[in-house]
Amino acid sequence: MDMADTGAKLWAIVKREYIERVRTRWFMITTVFAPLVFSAFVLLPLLLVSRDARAVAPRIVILDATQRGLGKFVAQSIAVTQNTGQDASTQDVRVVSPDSLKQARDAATNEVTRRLANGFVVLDSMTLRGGGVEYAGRRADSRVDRSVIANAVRSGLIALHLETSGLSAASVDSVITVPIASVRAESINDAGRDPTTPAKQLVATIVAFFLYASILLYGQSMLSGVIEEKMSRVAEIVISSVKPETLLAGKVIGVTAVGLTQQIFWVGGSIALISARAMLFGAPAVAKAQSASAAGGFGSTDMLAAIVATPWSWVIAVLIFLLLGILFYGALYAAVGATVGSEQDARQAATPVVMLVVLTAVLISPTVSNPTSQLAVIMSLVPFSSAIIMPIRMAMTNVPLYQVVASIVILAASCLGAVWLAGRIYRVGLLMYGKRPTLSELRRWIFAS
Amino acid sequence: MTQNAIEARRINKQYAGHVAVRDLSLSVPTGSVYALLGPNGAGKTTTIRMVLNIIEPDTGSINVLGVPATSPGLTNRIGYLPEERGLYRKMKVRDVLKFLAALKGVSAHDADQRIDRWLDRLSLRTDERDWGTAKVEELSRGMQQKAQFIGALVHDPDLVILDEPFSGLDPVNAQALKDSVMDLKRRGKTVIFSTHIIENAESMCDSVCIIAAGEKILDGTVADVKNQYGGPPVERTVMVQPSLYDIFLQQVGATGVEPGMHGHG
Repeated sequence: MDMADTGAKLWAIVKREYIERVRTRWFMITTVFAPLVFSAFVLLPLLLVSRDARAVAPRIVILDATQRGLGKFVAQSIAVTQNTGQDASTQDVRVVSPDSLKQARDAATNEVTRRLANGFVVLDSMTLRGGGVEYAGRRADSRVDRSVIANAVRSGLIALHLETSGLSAASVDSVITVPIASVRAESINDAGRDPTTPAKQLVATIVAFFLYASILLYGQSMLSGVIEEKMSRVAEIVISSVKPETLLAGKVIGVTAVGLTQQIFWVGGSIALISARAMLFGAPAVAKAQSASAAGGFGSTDMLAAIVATPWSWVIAVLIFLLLGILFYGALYAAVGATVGSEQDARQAATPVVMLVVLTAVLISPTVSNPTSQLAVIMSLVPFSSAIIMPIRMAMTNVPLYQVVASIVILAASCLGAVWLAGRIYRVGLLMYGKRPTLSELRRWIFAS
Repeated sequence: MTQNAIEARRINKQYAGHVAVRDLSLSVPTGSVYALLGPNGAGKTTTIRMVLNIIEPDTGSINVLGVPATSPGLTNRIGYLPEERGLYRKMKVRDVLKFLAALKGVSAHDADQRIDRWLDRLSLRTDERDWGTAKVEELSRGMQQKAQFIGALVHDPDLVILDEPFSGLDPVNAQALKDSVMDLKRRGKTVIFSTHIIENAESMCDSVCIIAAGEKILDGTVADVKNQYGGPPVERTVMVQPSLYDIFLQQVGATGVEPGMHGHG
């Protein structure tokens, strides 16, 4: 009867914590906003590629003052580099004499000003001597554009040398139209060859970031909730009906459930947005991103492949670590909240807990780079960091099962310890107002019968 | 019904070298209205918290409604209005009250019906406005206090403990609460309230206990205390005009003003 009564009351507290938090504007905004940010990481390259795909080549004017026909080869090379499928003859190559270069440059500038062209390239005797090339245009700051032009000029110069050396025009054409080789990059780590390492690194980093953000956000949310309850004196009414430990457990479970709900929305929403990328950006852009990733870069396709290829066991492990992480830190934040009398005091009192979370965040990058290092192994077992570090290691490498089990057991036991500790502090702290307790007072609260 | 609602035996409570309650024994008859009187810092709130098992006495024993104060399920039979008032500001009044009812084991359906009755009774639900649907922060201080009063009674407790229930209330709202307290008494409930406003105690209570500096000075029925400590009765004939308090209640239309309840809120 008593167990059922306590269970019903615990449920009432969990329900209130959950409903009141998911109803807030803050929850709505962060739930919707986070997948957009996450998708932006993945979709931004697509957006840029789709912009590039319809960009440089067709709207660049080539002013060829070399008197050697370099412009023709450069135009061909741009067409190949851009993979637009356009004939090089459609490129705007203007053969000009060195004397009339100034007028040609002015005319091209005028066209760019009137948006008839994006920019122009000037090829002259300096270019032939390896002295570089002049490029002016609306996107002169684009690193991609500059790289395309520099490569095209280099290829053009090679073609010109080949032609000068007596190679037939057809042979020169066949040389210059050789497509750029795709590089299928593959990492080798301690476990051997792994072609998906870059994608895994990104997925692991993003998931670690979400774990970090969730733990910090929900810890802070717990802290504010406890302080509100304490300062508004509602806590006294509640603990006249339930034990402080039950109130604490209900709060921690409620907050953890909210965190879990948000993660489900975040992950589901992000996958849906990434999946809809072809619809949003068009198939050519996606194909281009695929070829870009095949050429050794990193594209959203790899990312999606990594997500799709993610074993369910890892997803479940991430959820378990998320739950335990929020539970562990939620209890610590609640204990801090019970000892303070205002939001201002709370910020200072919560610093040691915040430092633990931040220290873990600092370890994310080294763990992603070297998931089997001694530091990574230790920190994936230590309870204050394991909730974030172990999922990274699991994403990056084959973590021995005993380590995963040990990490979960240690963290779960630490959660029980943290809830017990927080419960002891909560019991006394909730009714204490005024100055913050000293360490010796805290010790007395914890160990008094 | 003959047993005492509260039977405290020689309870002591000490905080970091400061004695909050010393050797205090209390007997609160079932069905009575009992006042715990004393100046600020006398130990009233500490005593109440020990009765509610929010804190444990260092020594001594407390029985409440016939069982030890630590008994499981006992809290569902006690209603409590703490001295420091507060509710979840961002929650709707009805949701807060349903939450408080759930903490006392009342089902959502029953809670809704009881809340409706209480909102009507304390004028928080009228033809113009249902304050139950408003957020707590939208309510005036007096309204919040009435909402909290409902929270203490929504589960129809056998024992009601009110810590300084009338402080901060205007005379009309104070009167509405006094009416409710007297109604609880008529229904056989035991009501304990702490106050430092002696007129309230005298007009409403059957028994009193006066404590100071953590120790009991005296206790007993109001009549006994008066007989024992007040000396022989003195007959006085005084012609007075109605008090400002009476005029206030009359002019603002307070209902249910009971004879002899002319204390100051």
